[in-house]
Amino acid sequence: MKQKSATRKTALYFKKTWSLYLMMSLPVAFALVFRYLPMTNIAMAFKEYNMFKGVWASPWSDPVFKWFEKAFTTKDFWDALRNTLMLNSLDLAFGFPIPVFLAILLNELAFKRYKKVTQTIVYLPHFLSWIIISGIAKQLLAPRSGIVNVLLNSVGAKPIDFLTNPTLYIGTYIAFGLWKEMGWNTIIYLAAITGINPELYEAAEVDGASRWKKIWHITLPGIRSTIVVLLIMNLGRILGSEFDRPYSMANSLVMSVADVLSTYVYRVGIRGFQFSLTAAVGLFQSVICVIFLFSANAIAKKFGERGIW
Amino acid sequence: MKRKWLSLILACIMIVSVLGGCKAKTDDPAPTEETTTTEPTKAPEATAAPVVDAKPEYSEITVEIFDRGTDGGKTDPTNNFYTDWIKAKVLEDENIGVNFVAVSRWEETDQLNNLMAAGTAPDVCLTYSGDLIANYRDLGGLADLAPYVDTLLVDLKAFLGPDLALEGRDMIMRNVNTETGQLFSIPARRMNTAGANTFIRKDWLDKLGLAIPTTTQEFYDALAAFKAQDPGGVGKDKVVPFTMTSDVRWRASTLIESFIDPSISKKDRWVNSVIDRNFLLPGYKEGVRLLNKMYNEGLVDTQFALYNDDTDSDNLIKSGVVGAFIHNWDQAYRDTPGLLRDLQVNVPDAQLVSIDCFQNSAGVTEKFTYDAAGVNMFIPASSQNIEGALRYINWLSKFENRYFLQIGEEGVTHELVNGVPKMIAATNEKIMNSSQNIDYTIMINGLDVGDDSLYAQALAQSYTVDPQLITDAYANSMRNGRPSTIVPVVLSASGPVNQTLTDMGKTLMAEAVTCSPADFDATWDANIQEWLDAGAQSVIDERAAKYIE
Repeated sequence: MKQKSATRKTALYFKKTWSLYLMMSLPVAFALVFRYLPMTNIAMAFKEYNMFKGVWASPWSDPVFKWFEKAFTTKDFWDALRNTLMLNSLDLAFGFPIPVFLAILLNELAFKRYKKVTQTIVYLPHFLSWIIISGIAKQLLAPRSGIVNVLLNSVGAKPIDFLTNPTLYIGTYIAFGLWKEMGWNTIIYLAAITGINPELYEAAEVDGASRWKKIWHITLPGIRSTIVVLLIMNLGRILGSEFDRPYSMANSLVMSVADVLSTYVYRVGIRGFQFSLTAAVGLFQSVICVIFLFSANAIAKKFGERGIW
Repeated sequence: MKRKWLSLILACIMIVSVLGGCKAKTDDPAPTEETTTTEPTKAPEATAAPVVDAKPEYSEITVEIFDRGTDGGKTDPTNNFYTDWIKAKVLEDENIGVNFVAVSRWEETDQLNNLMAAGTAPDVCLTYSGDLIANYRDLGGLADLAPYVDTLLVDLKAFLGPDLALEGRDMIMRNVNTETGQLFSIPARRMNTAGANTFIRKDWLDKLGLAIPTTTQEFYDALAAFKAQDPGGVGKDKVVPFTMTSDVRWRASTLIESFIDPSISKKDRWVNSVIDRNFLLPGYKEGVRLLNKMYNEGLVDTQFALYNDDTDSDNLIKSGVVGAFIHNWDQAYRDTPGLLRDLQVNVPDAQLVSIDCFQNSAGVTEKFTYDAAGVNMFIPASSQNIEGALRYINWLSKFENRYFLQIGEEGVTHELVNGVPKMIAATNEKIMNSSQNIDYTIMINGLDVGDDSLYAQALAQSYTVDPQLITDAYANSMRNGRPSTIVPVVLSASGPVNQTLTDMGKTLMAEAVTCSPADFDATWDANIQEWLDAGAQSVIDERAAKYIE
């Protein structure tokens, strides 16, 4: 009897919701076919890949970890790994807190129209591609014809090699990344701030809280979970790297600091015909990223946050 | 209830359309397999000794064509006046249907890789990269053409003629593997082997009362005078006496390579030239040292390392601030990028002339010239119609066919001057997408008028600038030309290290040119060591072991 009612309950539930499941099946199928199925080609990292035979008909490499060993014994790989970590850490150190500050600053602005205009202006660069931004960088900072150096020259100062000196290049790279993405992240925080119950501010006002106190005790705690989620997602990307940004900004004088894993994979793997090596480096990169993601999530949960799952 | 049915129908439609998309692809190979079994012409192995004259049964082939992305009035490279002409004539003469497949000239390697890996590469492919062919060859992706050389490729063999670099061999067999007898690619013939030239602003020299430089020192002095005296009146801080790009070893080639010890043996030169880089040849370093000196004295564009291609450097030349540069022997006079033409728009009395001033230690202005073997044609192993593809190449090699494609119709794309065609720029649908339709006439680079004695005149007339400039440029770049050393051995593909060495080579040159003169030796030696460790040494070892006289 009990069994029967359970079955009936399921049947009833299904009768009610089958159309939702049917609709869900498409995105699930999409994910399976276009996201999970291609993953099986990771096998390439353990094979002597021959493009004319395909992944599965190619022989297994001997030893199996041949391509990993090859990558780990190459100086270029370690340089690229070091640069990836360095540039991404710097990006995180500067690129993460600044949007929080900016969001709070904008939120505190009394003149709403000014706030809106500022908000729009700072988030517009997000929609520019890195190719355009690297062009802007050259126009601004090139040693001879860049506007900045032309100005320096006209006041008798020596030109500064923003793009060709490795140390200065790091600064330029980070600064442009900051300029491009700062406004976009600010919007996410502003949205979170909007979600804070205004009664809290009113109550604080009544209690005589200062502006600073309101920020510290209401705004920041109010957006804490958003901050944590974004931080976890950023940590998950610490070893990942965009391709267009380092590729378009770099030049042959700064390769020692500009070559990151994604450009290394493109240069040595794809252009150099070593697809198995590419797959091995990519797999290594992904595994480290997943480890970072899980540990950041675990730590967040330990501190009483919801994490991202 | 109604809504539920509607959603069911919608969902079904979506599923069907998604699966339908998949199905089209999986279904495709089946019919072609069927046709291959029913159509006897598509089994080339089975046909015994095909003859070039016999008209085969109808079949179709695909042919790679470069898409140069040229804008402004140019035509679709796969469908224009010339492709229509080819299609109609090949159908009539050879009973073959030709379809062109566009491949971007600028992403040639990537696109070819994709097509080759998918087994959908055109039946007739071409690439300038010998290394790409070595990679395909080693992976078993290319068809062996040796059996067809004397049957289907008779006219091509005759046109390519004897190999001038390898005595006693035919050019068509240039890339043959002497051990196995296999032939996986066939080179095109360069009518013209001129390499690089140095160009200088003659109007600036005249203004300063300087003669055309005839030695390296005079060249250097001229650049120093350009910088100090600004003869063009462009502003002393704007003058760029010498421009180049991040590809320093090419854009300063004639200057640097004149420092190479002329007594070096053929073998040493061949063994130590890794991926066409001469860094290790004795004397090369001293050439770079001069460039370093010039850079530190402000004679070289300080931004060259930021130029990944010619665009910025071209724009500087056109804007009239550049004193001298090194490039292809005719670069200043080509319609694209139109350096002299656009320069004269900005500076009407500007003159760009070629000079030949870099003498080596023996006092000779020796310089490289190209090998007569140019772009490589190959046929993928996946091709369903090797025979048809070869018939097409052979058809194209016949003089009447390639000659028409090269010069087009009289009065439209050329006019006859003293019996020799002079190219004129067409503006209608008969415009050529590439100069002399080089992208269609794949076995020839340069105009062949069928009479070698008329070649020089035809060459000079094929440009839109004063023919004398071309004659001079050609003479300058060919004078004391050193033919490239060809050693007929099969080398393993340097693919895995090729890109690394290319990129490191750029960094090496950029750092060596921009460092302070005091650091030059340390910078150069450290970078060379890294370069050797990164794979150059192993390439050298293989070349040394395989060298044969």
